[in-house]
Amino acid sequence: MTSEDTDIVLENVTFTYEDAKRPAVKNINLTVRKGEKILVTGPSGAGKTTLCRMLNGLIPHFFYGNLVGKVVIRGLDTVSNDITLLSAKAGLVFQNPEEQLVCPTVADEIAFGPENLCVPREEIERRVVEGLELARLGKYADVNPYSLSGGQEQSLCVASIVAMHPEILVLDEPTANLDSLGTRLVHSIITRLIESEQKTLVIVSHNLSELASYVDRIVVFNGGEKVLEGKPAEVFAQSESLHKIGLAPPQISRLALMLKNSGVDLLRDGFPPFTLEEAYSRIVPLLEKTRSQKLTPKPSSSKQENSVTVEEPIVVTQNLTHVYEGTTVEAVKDLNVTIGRGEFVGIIGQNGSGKTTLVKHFDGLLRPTKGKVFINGKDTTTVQASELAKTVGYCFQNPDHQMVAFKVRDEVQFGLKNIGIRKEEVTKRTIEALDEVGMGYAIDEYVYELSQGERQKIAVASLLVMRPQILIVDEPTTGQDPVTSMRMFELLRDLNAKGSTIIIVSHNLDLVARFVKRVIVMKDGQILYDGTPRGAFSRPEMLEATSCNPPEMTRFGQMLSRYGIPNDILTIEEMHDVLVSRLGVS
Amino acid sequence: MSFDYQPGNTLFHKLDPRTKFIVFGFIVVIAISVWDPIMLGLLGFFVYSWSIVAGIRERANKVVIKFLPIFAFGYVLNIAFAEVPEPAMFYLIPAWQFFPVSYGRLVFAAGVLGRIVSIFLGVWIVLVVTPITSMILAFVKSKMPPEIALGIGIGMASVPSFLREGKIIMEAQKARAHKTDFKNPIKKFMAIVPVVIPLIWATLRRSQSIAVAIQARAFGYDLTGRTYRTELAMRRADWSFIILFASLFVLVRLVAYYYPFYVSYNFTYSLLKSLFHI
Repeated sequence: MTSEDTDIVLENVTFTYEDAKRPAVKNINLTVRKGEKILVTGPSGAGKTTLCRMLNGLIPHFFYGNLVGKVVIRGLDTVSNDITLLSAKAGLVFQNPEEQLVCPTVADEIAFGPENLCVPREEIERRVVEGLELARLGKYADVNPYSLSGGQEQSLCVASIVAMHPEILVLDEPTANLDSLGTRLVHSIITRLIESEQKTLVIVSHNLSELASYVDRIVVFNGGEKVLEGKPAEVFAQSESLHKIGLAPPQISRLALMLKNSGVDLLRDGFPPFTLEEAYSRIVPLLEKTRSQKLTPKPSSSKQENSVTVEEPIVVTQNLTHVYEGTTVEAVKDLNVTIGRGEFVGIIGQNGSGKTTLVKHFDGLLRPTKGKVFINGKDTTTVQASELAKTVGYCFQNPDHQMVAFKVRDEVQFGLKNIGIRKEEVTKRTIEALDEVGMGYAIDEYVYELSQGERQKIAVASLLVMRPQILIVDEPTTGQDPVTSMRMFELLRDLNAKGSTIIIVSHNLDLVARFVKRVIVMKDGQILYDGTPRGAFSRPEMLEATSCNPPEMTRFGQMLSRYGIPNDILTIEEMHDVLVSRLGVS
Repeated sequence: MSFDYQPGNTLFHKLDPRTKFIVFGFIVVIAISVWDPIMLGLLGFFVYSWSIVAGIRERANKVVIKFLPIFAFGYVLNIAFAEVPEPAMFYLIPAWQFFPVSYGRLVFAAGVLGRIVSIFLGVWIVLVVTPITSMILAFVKSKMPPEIALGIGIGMASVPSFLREGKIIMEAQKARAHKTDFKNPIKKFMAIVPVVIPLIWATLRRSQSIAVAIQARAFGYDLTGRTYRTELAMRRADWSFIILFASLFVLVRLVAYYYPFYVSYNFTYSLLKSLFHI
């Protein structure tokens, strides 16, 4: 390959951030051809963001440290060339859209990059129109970017970078902070770019299912090193290795590998499928063979099976309505919810559907505009939030918002000190709470030296220490890698098994389906569904109305329903067992 | 949030950011040249009237109400530390003869309050009607080195971010039995202390992100050749505003020089004395 054919070359690159003890990336060799699309993945802390920062010169010109090796972007060495020149070659979109928007209106936001690059005014206007069209924000040209939804904000960020006409587009976890509706919107823009433009594309994502079919190559990072590289099917064939480092290959690939061990071969040339469509086309001929034997599709669970009986109510809302100060919109409307002691409840729905507004009433952070909320039979309006905190623990989405101390020990003890617990008891409970979340080893560590996943656990421990009867966890998997997310749900499941009532707000429907015992689906401040997960996910029309994607296995089951496959399967294991039985293999 | 930019197409929005800063500078200089509560009250009302022109009156009302405890706290402190040569009517802490209260001190403190509110409203309005990128570009156009312009712009942008993050962090601490809803301003202030660490952390991260985002969009690529979708330029309205405030400033300075009585707190105090026979 000649240098004219390559857009990105990394030669033996090692980078250590200033003041860091260990390098963020080690001995990286990576070459990306012109027009090539690659997906970079890896668990949290793998070095993915560091790689992105190196591609447009933020490293070493903004983030200082020790850079060894050579990074060349379209023939320009990133050490000897200025960041502004490099960012014109490689446009970088970051994870959090709110941290990238700097202009007063949507149109100005798109124009900002071209203006900096001295593009003539007429051309800027043309690019603004193009950008608005790409981001599907034509109606919002003069609107403040902050008034857009998360998905629209991120689409705007992508359009703003594309408007600079960089030859290389780098997207660093562009959907990590978005709900499923936002994710769909941004993915549709990315796929449009892939299909219509000849740009070189580097996408960093944990979401392997959605984007794998659009890329030429997947590069896997772990612990700062490149550990795996290849075509998507080749990489997904290494399911076990991926899982070990905290990644989740598409569920359909894992299913195919499990089925192979049970005698059902969906592999081609030894590689598993990685899209539902691909898997469908491979399994249908096998199902067709047995079609004459069993054709009756299993009906979805009945209404009765899906309802949940509540014993010993601990949270009760009566006609709860909330209108935020300064607005007239009812964020939640006339809600009647009863949650029993010891339940594990998942609340799902789009951003703005009222999930967080509902749960913030449970610990008194919000007071009802109309209606009542009772916790353990007590009206929350008669109890101070600080008093309710003894019964209800609320874990915020961003653990950093909770951290008040430098040391883990002080952090966990903060709540206990607020309620005046004896010193010996404080020490005892601190150790117990940290052990409970598996963080006993970190008691004397500095909070901000821990990973985000670890800080999330400390945030949970700092609530557990108060021994709340109810634990509310708001979006614990945002920005986390699949295995860290899974571990958080496992932790919550274990706490629930010990008797805590767990209420979780999440967009991660695969994990919700796997762990919770009851699902509340919300839309526009109202409850669309309240019952078992199986019942919720077997209603595609309802989920579509809330723009929630059912779990991958549920969707696969629904695709295969005419072959008698149930439409409410939640996990890979279930699907495996059903298919093995349906195909008559042992 | 209180300090977030509000888009609009009003006269104030359209003014060049440099004009807004110059006018704000005049407001500050005028406010510190005057001690009289009536004149400072008029200045405060004048600045407040900008919020009407800028279509942000309701927000201005809310922000003033929100900061009322801080203004009240400042007023009380100024009573204590006012340099007014008259005997105290009584002491707020009689045992130590500390915190003297007298009519003169009350009037003096009212003047300082007017000054604080005028400056606060001035900076608030400038922030709310000026987007961060326009601020930075205006500094650059004024020949300020881009690094410094970026630093000041980000510093200003971190005010709304600071307040936004502060609100979330306060809520998070409430969920851990930390009391923040005190009526007593001193207790309220003390309750803020535990949120300082996460607040600083969050604000630093946010400020860094804004800096990275701006750099990643090629800011500083060629500052002399940079093009503008809407050119930043001083127009007639800008010059009119500057001349108006420069004149006002000169007038105040002349009054202060030739008739110092009218800019000291004694003007209002003597009016009140004659009206209420104090």
